[in-house]
Amino acid sequence: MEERMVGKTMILRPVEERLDAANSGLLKSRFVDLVNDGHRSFVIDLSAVDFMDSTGLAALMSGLKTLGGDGEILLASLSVKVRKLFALTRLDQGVFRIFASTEEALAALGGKGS
Amino acid sequence: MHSISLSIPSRAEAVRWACLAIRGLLQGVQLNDDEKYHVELAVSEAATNSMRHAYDGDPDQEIGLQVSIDPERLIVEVSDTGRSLDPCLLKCACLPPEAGVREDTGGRGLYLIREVMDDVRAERVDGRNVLRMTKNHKGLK
Repeated sequence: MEERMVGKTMILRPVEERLDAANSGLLKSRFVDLVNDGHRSFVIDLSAVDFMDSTGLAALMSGLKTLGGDGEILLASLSVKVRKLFALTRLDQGVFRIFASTEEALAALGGKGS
Repeated sequence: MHSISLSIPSRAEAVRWACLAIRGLLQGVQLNDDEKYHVELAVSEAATNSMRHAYDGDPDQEIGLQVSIDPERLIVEVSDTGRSLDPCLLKCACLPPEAGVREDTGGRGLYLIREVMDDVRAERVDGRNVLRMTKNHKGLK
């Protein structure tokens, strides 16, 4: 997992091609650690992820639950297949905001990331 | 109908290997990229359900996969010897209501399987729980 800060926003980039039961737990526990450390603004760069299943979705949902409404998780650079998974589960409707690039996601945070 | 069988340990990395094997087999049938993803997704969900729910996360159990291909259909059977799936869970699998969606972090696997495959049946065969998932295709390559 690559991590970098832009302003107050933590950008997380899973580097494996798959986000499934083998590694989604790592993302879930990393969210908990980062939120406990005081982070509240996240962009998840999914550009490397070619395959995701419901355990990957659950890790992202768990991040939202950990934040408990006090913070944001935006998603960026989804592959066509992963984007369709969000459509199938309707998590692109009022749950996650999805952007074409990390830069667009940071811009949408309204300057909070810079 | 040609069949290939796999037997894997009930571990997440083995489920991943099995999915990659399925991805290879899918090269032999006429499905578009979305449909291939759907089959791989269904296998990942079904095997993960066996691992997590039928076996309660015990990593030393066995999950079976059988892929059968004929000129019109691809059938994947994922089986285990753990706790049986409640047939109602498969029949009633749906997304959480909009109001509770942010609170509900799991439980989308069966919904996805039903959504992306053409036919899904849960059966008990010779002491094994078998989830039989069918995808129609446009022919063999």
